[in-house]
Amino acid sequence: MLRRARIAIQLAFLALFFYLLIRTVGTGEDRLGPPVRAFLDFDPLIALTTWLRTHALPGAMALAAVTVALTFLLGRFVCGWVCPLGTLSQISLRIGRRRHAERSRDGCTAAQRWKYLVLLFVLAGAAAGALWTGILDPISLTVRSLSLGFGPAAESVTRAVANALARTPLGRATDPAYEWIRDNVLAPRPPLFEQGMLLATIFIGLLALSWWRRRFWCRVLCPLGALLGAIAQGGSLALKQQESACTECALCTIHCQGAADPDRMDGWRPSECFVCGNCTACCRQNGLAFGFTFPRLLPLQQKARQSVAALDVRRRQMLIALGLGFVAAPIARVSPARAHPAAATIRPPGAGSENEFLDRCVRCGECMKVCVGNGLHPAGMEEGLLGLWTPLLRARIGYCEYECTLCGQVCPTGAIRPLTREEKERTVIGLAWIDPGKCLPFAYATPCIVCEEHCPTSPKAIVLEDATVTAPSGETRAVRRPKIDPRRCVGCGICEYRCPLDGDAAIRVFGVNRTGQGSAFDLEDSG
Amino acid sequence: MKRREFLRTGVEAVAAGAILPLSGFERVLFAQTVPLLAVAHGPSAPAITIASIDALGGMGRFVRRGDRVVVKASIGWDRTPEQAANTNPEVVATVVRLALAAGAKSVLVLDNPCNDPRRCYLRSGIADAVRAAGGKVDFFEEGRTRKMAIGGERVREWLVHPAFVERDVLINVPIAKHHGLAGLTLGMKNWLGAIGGPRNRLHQEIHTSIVDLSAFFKPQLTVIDGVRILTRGGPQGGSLDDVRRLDTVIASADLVAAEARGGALFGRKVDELAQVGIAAGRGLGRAVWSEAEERMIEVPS
Repeated sequence: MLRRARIAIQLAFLALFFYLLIRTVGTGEDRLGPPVRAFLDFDPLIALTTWLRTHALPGAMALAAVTVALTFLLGRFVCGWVCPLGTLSQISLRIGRRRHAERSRDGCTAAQRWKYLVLLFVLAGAAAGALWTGILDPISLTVRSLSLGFGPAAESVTRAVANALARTPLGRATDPAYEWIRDNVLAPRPPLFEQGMLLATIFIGLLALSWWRRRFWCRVLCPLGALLGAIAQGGSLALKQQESACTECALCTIHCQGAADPDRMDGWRPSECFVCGNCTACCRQNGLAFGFTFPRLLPLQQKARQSVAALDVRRRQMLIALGLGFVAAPIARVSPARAHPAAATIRPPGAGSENEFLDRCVRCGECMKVCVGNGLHPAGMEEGLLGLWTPLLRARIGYCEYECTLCGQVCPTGAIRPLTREEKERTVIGLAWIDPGKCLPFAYATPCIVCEEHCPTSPKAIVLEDATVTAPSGETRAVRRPKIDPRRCVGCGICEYRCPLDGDAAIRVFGVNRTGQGSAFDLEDSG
Repeated sequence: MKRREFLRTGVEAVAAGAILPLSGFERVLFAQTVPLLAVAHGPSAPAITIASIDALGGMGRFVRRGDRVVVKASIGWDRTPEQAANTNPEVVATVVRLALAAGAKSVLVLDNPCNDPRRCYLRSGIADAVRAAGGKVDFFEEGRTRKMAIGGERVREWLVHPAFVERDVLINVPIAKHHGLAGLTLGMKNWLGAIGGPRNRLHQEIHTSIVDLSAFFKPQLTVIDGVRILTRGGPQGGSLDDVRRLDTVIASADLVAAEARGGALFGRKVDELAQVGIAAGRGLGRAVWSEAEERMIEVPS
């Protein structure tokens, strides 16, 4: 009964997750419809680490308190019933391993304590200056991997198949279906992302670990699972074991998803239990049932009178994990990438200085997924480990749509502040510059001005200057040459994106004011 | 167009057809009935669109029962109708209505925008207006473009969306705008929105390129939206200070004459529009016409 309900609800949550992910897309409207970032808003690991790092919490993240309260009451139901990565791990197991191969007792192992150490490392980092959360948080990880790794390929295949069918007599029948999918599921234009293959491979790898140890990620690595486990340990969910009924067949522990030892009298582990209901469903004696007890409240060192096993983490290990977190954070934070941000460091509009931004970004990739210009891409290691997979504008691949404000709407932590359209029009993220050695009118006396045509500010930040230029042939020609007005340029990058030259564009944008100390043109502005 | 109007136009056309051959003055009458150019002015965008096309002999002259009609509107930018960067939605919707009333089997409107296509289609007001008029709106699918022989002087072959080729009637409905390189963008430059591929490379010889494309697409009818024109900061504008309200629509079956007359909205003479000279030189249409061949229609509210 419990097991059946869990499977139904688990699939429903997975469907909801995919629905919200799919709707994280530009529809042409200024505002996104459904609360596409809801899974992230309810994530207490993101809320806790954001608070530790910034001592402030964006309003929507208060929803994480709901998750904490429910976990206190119901244990790690999030892991067993809600989390998309958990469900996908479970599906991966079903695909990769035959059900009847599960014969031996699958009890708790010492490796399961690692996740608590990962959690402590992340918490210490957040307190000491480095927000690692997004790299390992399961919701961030899943959104990022699916959006940036699998999404573009799925979109491209869908379009290719539909366009191939359209050339056959079948097209008449398939086109209406395709148009619906295109307009409701796909991005406005086929997206591409840097590191897509890498992100997809990591994700497949994590799911494949389930074939070796069932739900390896959830049992051993997941810092959110650890946080929820610690809460569940002190909470009120109990497994009522009827000792007299037990035949020691161990079926319950063979089928236990979390390796919570339900067959051990007085040894069941609430911190590891996903409340999946497999144990209560498979016990032939009906000797197991979930119930509630007075909250145990002592999460770490408990006595056997509570009928549960203690959280199996040694004090020395905990101190080492915390210590490493405190040591690693300043090492990662003190870097030239922060003190002297590179030209390529162009952040989404609404991001504060580099420090303010990296203190909040959880690398979930929602901003990149929703970016209608396909301009935002996950950073590699050029920004250091702290910048890994945070969004950068790559203006040769895409651009920032002038009137679009979607990235600020989907950001769960306020790393990208929500902007109104009017605020967005005034928000400067970069500045364009022209490479006269490459630009057609400058270097070759060839007419072009594509950049000026696309410049969205009014008046335009790219102004045209009439000039007489000597072409390589020796002929002199009258051309119009582009010139940048730094007081108007917002750095959207559409000029760089549309520049017709091969390779690097002849007009490029670079990030400005990333240190939060203003830009070189501020003085001119005030004068 | 109301049914009554439609019927009346039909009856008039049939009557005219019956009387004309008998009259003996058919040449003179014909010149007066079907001018080369029609320019309608008035406060109602739908009314002046209808008036200009009616003056050319009505939509029935271009669209026959069962025709598949494609309308190329300018939907290139994430701007509102007031900013005059895209064709006025009422003008587009009226052309769609007229084509359907003339018996068109389907009317399809599409463009290959420079900004996010969904924002362009929505904020321009064109998608909603066309759907309300009974037409179909489609997004430009780069994956559907095919390399076609353009046979131009500069554009020899290019990726073209087949919708603009596999149709019975093609109607060009651009907005009249300023452009930093082309000077003005009117009907001819509108064809850059019917092609895919690296369009931004055509700017190096923009005038020849857009004449090449016009000769390839050969619209049966050109309707230039001059309800609001963009006089500076084109082709996408943004500031209402650069917009001038002219309440004018120009219609012609001659794409060169329409282009030249569109230039006149900005006070440009024919010889100031390079593309007009090139196109007329190739025999695509007429750059000069007599006063009698242009009909001005005033449509009071």
